[in-house]
Amino acid sequence: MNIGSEEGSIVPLGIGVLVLTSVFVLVCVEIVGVQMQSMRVKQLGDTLALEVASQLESDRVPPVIGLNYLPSVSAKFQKLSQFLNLSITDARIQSNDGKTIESMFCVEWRSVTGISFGNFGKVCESSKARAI
Amino acid sequence: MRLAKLLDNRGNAVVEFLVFVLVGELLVLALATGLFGEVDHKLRLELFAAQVARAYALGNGELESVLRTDYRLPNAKLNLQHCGFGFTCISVLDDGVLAQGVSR
Repeated sequence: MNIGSEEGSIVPLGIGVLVLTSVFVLVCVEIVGVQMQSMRVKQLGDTLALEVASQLESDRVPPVIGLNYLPSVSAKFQKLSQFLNLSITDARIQSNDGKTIESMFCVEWRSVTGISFGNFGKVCESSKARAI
Repeated sequence: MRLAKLLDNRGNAVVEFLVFVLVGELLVLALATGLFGEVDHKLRLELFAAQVARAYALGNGELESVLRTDYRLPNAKLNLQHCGFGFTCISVLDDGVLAQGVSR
């Protein structure tokens, strides 16, 4: 077999091109899907970080560094995550600098196309709100 | 003679390209266009829900019409829900696709 020969079919090459195009399209769609999921998580994070920061500001209490503020807004967290249809896997609301409240929420990645090939991952988003 | 020519591996590459690759690619790209159209609609709906929720939470409900124009969703049904705790929760439905937005 001469590799430089021009004899043969281009069908295998065509199949390769079609497969590559399909994979490219699916990856693009999945990237947009992750973006949509992170937008929802970001909404939850923004809202709860702002809620905790507002509570602290109205009480005139500076944030305690490292303290998890999630229990103070657990009812609101449940309500909003249910409304946004999010199954939160990791959640944290705390202050790292004593001035701002930082929230971090994660959800399991859900494939938009339903084709995940057994892959799994997390979509996480963090938000910050000024408390003092 | 004719059958032997059909089974011959020596085909016309241009014809094979036109029949197989070009038609196949066009089919894949047509499906992709449809898929991207749906994803684009869903993404615009999600962004619209988030922005409208923020606008209502900040007392700027009049921005709804501007956002409808921006996100090209003139017929989207907007449902303002009372989810308590002073939050603004909004559901948006357009062409059977649902999106939710919350803000404070």
